[in-house]
This record gives sequence, structure tokens and C-alpha cells, in this order.
Amino acid sequence: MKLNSIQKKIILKNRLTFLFVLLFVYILLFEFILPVNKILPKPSLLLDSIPALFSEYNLLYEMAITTSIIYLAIAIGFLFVWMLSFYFATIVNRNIGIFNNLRLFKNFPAFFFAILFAFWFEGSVFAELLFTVIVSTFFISISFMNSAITLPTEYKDAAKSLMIEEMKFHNNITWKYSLPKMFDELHKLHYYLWVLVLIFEFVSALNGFGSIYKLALNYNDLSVIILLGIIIALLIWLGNSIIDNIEKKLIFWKA
Amino acid sequence: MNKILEVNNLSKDYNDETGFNVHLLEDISLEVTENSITTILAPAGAGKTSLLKILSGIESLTSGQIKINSENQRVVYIPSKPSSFPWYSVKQNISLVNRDDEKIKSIVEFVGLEGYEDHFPENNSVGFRFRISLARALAAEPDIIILDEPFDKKIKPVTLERLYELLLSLKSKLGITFLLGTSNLSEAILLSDEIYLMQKEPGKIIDSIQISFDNERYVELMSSEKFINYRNKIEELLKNQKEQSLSNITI
Repeated sequence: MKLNSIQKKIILKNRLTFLFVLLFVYILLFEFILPVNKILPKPSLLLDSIPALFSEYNLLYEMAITTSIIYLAIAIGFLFVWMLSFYFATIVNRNIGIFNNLRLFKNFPAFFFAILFAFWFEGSVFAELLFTVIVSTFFISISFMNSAITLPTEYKDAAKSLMIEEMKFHNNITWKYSLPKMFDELHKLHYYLWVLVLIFEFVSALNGFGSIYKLALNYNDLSVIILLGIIIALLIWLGNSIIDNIEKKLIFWKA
Repeated sequence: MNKILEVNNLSKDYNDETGFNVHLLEDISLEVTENSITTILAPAGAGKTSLLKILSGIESLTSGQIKINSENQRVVYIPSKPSSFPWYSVKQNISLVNRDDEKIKSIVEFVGLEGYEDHFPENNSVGFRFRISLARALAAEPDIIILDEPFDKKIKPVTLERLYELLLSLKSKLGITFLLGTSNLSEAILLSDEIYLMQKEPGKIIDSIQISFDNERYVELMSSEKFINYRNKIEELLKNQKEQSLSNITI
């Protein structure tokens, strides 16, 4: 359902109110009523930990690694699928069996491969990028094939009758038709990649946000764990907003 | 007038999902003459779409013969559902088939889309999308345009009248030949030079009737005596056929 601007403003207002209430309760409860506890740190302590995140945990550098890997992997995956989409569409059209078999892997727990890759390559950044690109390419190719399979018969018939050649048909019709559904799936992939990359980095404990988590756990640094959670949530929200904006600008039609 | 398309004893069988052999079309024979509108009038599910797709070369036939005037003859099929691509503007939809700007301009003008070249089909009416499909078909410089149930029931009567006029003017001014598949009797009488009546299960031509009016065709003709006579005659033919097929049923 598409929301109009007034509805969007109301939703935003409600969400902000909810956040402020949560913040107020948190400050009241953990700063004044329960200052010493093992559940959440004192708000003032949280603020004091921010400089440490930059100096001791090297936040900017690790953030650059994690975000570069995630967004580069999405871009490379999209590029790969675009380049190979003609062959993927052929697989879909000519051999549904292979496509269905490939789809089986969509439900396979990819974190298992994250751990395996971290084990094989001992936490190299290139291994991390390679793993993320493989997951991203696989996910995007499946979402392309899922979409291409639903291409309406009337488009196929019209194109065949107008003698639009196969490659032109693919680039101008199948690919364009699939884009809105692929972008819808991109949000899922985005979130999924964040989780996987964090697992990979946590296991390898060498680079990225995951390594900060590992370190913070070793130091029992609850403030940093919480702060990092907030930063990651903000980054995921920002990433989703960017994907939304790209979709709005480039893909104005419905599938 | 020249025969532009001739179909002799065309049949189509296929296996459905359960492997059951379906005899869809039986012994279909028909002729389409140049610069005419020939209609196949059939109820839903009679195999009209399959027949039209076979004649367009999209689907294959099981047996029979399709004779065309020349090897270079171009047949363009317009499906019943809107087939204009929503990600392309009117102009881009047409230029997928023909990149000649002058040609595109004249086609856009002819189908009544002047000023809408940069509009996108998605937010527009079914009639608008039909005009785009028609424009795209014209860009392919066809000898025959095959229209499969082109006029959606959702189209407003005023728009429908304009679309009828558009088809008739394409025939008279550009000399385009149309083969139309419809289940709407009034539409068939108003637009056609010849109507083939088709029954279902299996799809079979049961009769044909030539339609001619003394005056130019316009929607008001629908209330004329001649139109009503044609209507009654076709209804009578369909009724007789129905009774005949019922009498064939043995219990």
C-alpha cells in the first residue's frame, strides 16, 4: 500500500514519540533508579564510551571495512547478475528443474558458510569480500529468476510477434520487468548480509564491526556493545533509505 | 479483393498438465481478404486465442495448412491483456520496433497519442494502453494485425466508440487488414466485413456471414434495421447450432 505524505508524517511522528519515550524511560531507570546493574549501562557511561570507540576500538577504520564489504558485494552481485541475466533467464525458460534445485539453497543457513570461510581463510578481508559477493550474487540471481519466471505471456507474445530479437527482448523486457521485484528483495539481502558479515568478522576476529564485538565481549565492555548496536542499526536504516531512494528514482513502474 | 491469408483444415491438439489429450481446434478453414476486418466470433474458451496465436506464428498447429500471400508478409498479434511495457514511454514502446522518428511521429498522430509521447502507460487507461499496442504494431509495418479480444469490458463506452472509429479509419485510410477475435456480437457486426462463427469443444467454424452497410460505419448504426437484422440472423444461427449440438448428446 502506498502512503501519502500526511500518513508518512504521522508514522514518523509516532515513531519519534515512541523512541523519545523509550529514551526517557531508559535514562530514568538506569541513570537514577538502577544505576548499578548487569542489564544495561548508565546513560552517562554510554556517552563516556564514545571517545573510546574511536581511539581504542578504531571505529572508523572497522566501519569502513564492514560497510565497504557489504555495499561493494551488493553492487558486484548486481553487476554479475546483470551480466549473466540472459543465461539465468534461459535456465528459467528452458530447464525449470535446475532452477528449482538452485532455489533449495535459498533456505540453507548461510552463516554456516560464513564460519567455514572464516576457518579456511583465517579472516582475510579478501576472503570476507569473496564470501559476501558469492552470497549476494546467489541471492540476487535467485530473486531475478523468481521474477523472470512470472513474466506475463502477453509480453512474450507481443515481443515474438513483433520479432524482437532474443537479446533485445531480454535487455528491454525481461530484465526491466524483474527489477522492481529484485529491489524489493534487496532489502532482505541487505539485512541478511549485515548479519552474515558480522558473524564472519566475529568468528575471524580480525576486521570490522564483528571484531569490535569480539573485543568488547573479551573486555566485558557493555557500553561499547550497546553503542555498536545503535550505530549498526543506524547504518542499516541509512542503507535501506539509500536503496529506497535508488528504487524511487530508477524504478518507477510495478512488476 | 485479394486473399491475404487462407487457412485450410487447421487442427490443434495438445496434452494438458495431467497428460490428457485435448482436441482444441478442429478442421478450421477461413479466408482473410486484403483491406478488410474479418472477425472470429466465439464464446470464451473456444480456442480463439490459440487459433489467433497459430495464425500469428506464435503457436504451432497439429495439422492443416496456412497459406499467406507472400513470404515477406508480416502478421502482428496484439494480445488481449495490455502488452505495452510500463517502464517505457509511448515513444520508447514504439521505438523498440521502429527507430525512424518521422514514422513514429506519424503513427503517434494517427492513433491519437499526439502530445502523449513521453507519457508512461502504467497510470493510464486500458484504452490508452491499447493505442500504444496498436501504434507499436503499426511501427512493424504489418500486412495483417491480429487483435485478440482487444476491447476490455472496463473500457468506457465513449472510449470504446473512439477505438472502433480508430480501427475503421486504420482500415480505410492506411489499408490495414485486421483479423479480430471477439465474443461481442455487436462489436463484430459493427466492425467486420466478414464474421466466422466458432463453437467450442472442440473449437470449430460453424458458419460465416458477410456484413455490408450502405453507409459509413459509426456506432449509431447499431440501432439501424440492417444491423438488427444481422444480429437476429447470427443469433438464430448460433441458436440452431446450440440445439444441434444438444441433439447430438445421447444419454
